[in-house]
Amino acid sequence: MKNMISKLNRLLAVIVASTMFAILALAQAPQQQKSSKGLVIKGKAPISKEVLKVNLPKAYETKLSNGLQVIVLEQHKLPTFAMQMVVLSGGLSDPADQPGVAQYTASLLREGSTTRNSRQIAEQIESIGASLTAGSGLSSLFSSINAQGLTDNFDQIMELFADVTLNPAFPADELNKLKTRSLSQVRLQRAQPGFLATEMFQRVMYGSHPASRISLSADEIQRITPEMLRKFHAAHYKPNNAIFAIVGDVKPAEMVAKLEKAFGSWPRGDAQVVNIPKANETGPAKIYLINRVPSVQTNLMLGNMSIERTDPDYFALDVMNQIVGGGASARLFLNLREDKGYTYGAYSLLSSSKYRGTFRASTEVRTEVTKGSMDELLYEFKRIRDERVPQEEFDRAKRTIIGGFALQLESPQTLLSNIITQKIYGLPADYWDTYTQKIAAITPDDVQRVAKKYLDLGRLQIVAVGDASKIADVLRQYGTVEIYDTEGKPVKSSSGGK
Amino acid sequence: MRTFRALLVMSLSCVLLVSVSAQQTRKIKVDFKDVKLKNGLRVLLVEDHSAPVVSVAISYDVGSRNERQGRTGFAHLFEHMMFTGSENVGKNEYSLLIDTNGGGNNATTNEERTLYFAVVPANQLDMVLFLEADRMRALDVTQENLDNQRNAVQEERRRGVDNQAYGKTGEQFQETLYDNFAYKHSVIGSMADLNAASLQDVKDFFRIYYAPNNAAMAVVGDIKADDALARIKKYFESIPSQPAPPPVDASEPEQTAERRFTVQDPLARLPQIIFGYKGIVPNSKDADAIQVLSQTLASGQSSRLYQRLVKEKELLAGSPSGFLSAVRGTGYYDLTVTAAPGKKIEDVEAAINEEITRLQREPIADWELAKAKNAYRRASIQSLQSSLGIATRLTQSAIFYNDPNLVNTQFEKIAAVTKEDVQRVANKYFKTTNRTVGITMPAKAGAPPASTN
Repeated sequence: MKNMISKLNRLLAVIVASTMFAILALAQAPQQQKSSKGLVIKGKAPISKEVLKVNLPKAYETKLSNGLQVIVLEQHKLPTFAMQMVVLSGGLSDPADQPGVAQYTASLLREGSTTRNSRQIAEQIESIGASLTAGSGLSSLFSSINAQGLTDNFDQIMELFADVTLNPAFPADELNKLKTRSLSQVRLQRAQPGFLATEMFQRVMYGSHPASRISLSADEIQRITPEMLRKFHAAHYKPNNAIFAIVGDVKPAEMVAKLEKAFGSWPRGDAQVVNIPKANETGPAKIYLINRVPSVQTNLMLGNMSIERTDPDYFALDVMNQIVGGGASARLFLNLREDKGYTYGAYSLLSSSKYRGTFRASTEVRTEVTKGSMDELLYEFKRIRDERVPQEEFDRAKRTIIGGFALQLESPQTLLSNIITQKIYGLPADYWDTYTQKIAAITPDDVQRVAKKYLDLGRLQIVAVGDASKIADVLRQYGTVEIYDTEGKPVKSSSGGK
Repeated sequence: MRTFRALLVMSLSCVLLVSVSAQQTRKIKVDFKDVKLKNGLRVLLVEDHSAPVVSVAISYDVGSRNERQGRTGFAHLFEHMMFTGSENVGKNEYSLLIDTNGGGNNATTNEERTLYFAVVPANQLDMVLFLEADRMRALDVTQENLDNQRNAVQEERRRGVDNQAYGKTGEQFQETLYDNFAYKHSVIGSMADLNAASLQDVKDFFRIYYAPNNAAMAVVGDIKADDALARIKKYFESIPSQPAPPPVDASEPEQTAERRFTVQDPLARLPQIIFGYKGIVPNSKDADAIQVLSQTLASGQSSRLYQRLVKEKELLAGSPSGFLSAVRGTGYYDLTVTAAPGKKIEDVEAAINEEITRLQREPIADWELAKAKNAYRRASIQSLQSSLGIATRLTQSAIFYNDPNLVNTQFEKIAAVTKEDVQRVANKYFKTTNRTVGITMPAKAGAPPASTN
């Protein structure tokens, strides 16, 4: 593969939507860019000056009498559908002393209902070529149950979907088996440098906040009981605390009738309000080194706290992220790979939620160039703060987002998840309709302002996973280094030591 | 012309266990135009006006099986060079123009082909055609860019192989299972061979393999086929054809005894075992039956290995994975499972053998046959949702089997598989003498990686 851009991973599975588009002459064609070692512009290819303006298809929305919100997006190109029940309580609703309860509640839904055992559920759904999954994250705002299949099998799939959602049995033996599988998975994850880097990064960014966890400890897994799951389901799985969303070869009127049948008798209840803790600013800059032997690469991940999803700075940060590390045409990639040859890929990522997210950069480099890579990563963090982005580079970053946004809409499931995002975060109803305009309005000064505001080098948290005997001293040139083992436990380091 | 015709036909499959009402399903078909340009470039065109998007895919009939000894990894390294500039396109300008005009692009190399693809708003078709034609006509390579991409590829190897648990196992598996060099080495290649690649190698490879008569191109999306064809001719037809590349001898002697190896892997945390059953010819009746077998044995939570080895006996750390290799020559089915903590790899192997024996002795259940066919049917319908997916499949089927219409017929072939077929292929291929078994054991950190045959 040439590279690993997330946009392309999406495109590989893209679904062509019958969205309504209009062509609009927007912005100017790309201007002459400056060339660098990583990028040479000859400017001879014929380019259309038009940029796609997107008109989103309107979804049908209604509410059942028990309060269940319903979203239906028709898409008749293929005889298929995808549906989702979004329960508006996830890992953030876990009782403080019971992390993982939301995740296990969702995972156990498939493992037995009052009338079907785990095996029957698996056989019935898979024998019709359909899929049924359920899950929640440790720091997620919601839990979801998802089903996909052919329209032919709609009624059977809906019956199974409703059964696992409404009538879970939480069998003790299935919980024990799930725990056993999870403990194996935790063990396998610890072999992956990417997992170790992300785990430590979340931990140092969020401290005691629930977002600090990306996986449970063995003790936390063992503490979970069927009773906890039953309680969580009873408290949170309520129609007035959920959104049902479907996209595909379905008709809204028929859908409402089918939903009344499947979910009409689901009793409404008091939905518990989630108290989402604020995510605090991090402490001063520090370096966390996970000693993984024998590593031939160093995984580097560094960043700062960013913003909540509804923050008005979102659009400027989105553009900043695109410029710094949004793909194979962004600064980190062109510098660390195409100029220096240190890595296969270098990217940045902006995350945000109802608590503050992070802005981070990450790359994997051969051990010998750990220092060179640190220098270039820090250079790019400084450059976006200290230098106003040149106009042509700035314009092409905006064009990438605006055009890329249109292509994302080839996927009806992306359209649907956009609608759900808008509802979960309480974004304005026209949020996605005006998204590209908001991006278009961002200026280079806006980007420099947010870069200075959020990329605080004095608080930059740096995680490295690699061979400590070779890179600890290198990293000490950049600040205080704490060394950990691959279980996440601090290692006593001898003075200046290895 | 509409691309997707909707016909009403009776549903092919009855579903057991769940009540089935009399249902009708739409049949989906891809209508494509199949044209050969004067220079031998095969062009496949599909009109699909459901979104103002167009996908362009080009498969060159070259992959790691075309590599010579001492140059493993070269086909893939060359793929990277295709982004470093051509006569009228600068280094990385290809990606920059596609990215900044709202598209996406990438490329991928395997044993059989090197595939380049882009998805763009439909009004940028000319841009993509210009970019692709320029690098097919006149690639511009420099030593500096070769050295730079060699570094990137070596990091790709470290990231995916040398710094990964179980990373070395796949390479040794391929080297043990095959006898003929064509497939007896990894696509990513060895560090030493990557270091040996020269600028002259790049130039020779380009001349021999990157000719219009050694490629198939598909343009799928919001186009008018005749108009798109005229544009394609404008950009591509003057690129000269070349003599056909030397044929690959990928023939394999028949395997007569089991092959085994063990890898001591300091990065691995749990023992893993991989089985390879050799000799399956792809795109054949046997291969179709193997697909059904694989669904029964290893696909999803209803599969036999999941139910028996993961759920019941708790021998495995997670879901098994089973795949039929995608090579044109002698293929294999590989099955990979990871032992749960505290479980012996011998017990895992014995339990797998037990399930294989069952497949050989008894026909699979009706519902298992229905599951495989329905899974395949849904997958083949869903694969038509993306213009890129269609474009990719068309070019590969054209290159591999001279049959782009496989996009329409593949699932019918699976639908024709019987329980007897499954039992027959289980006996024919899943023999001890016909397999390669690789075991990866976690080694103490600090111990050097080691392997034995």
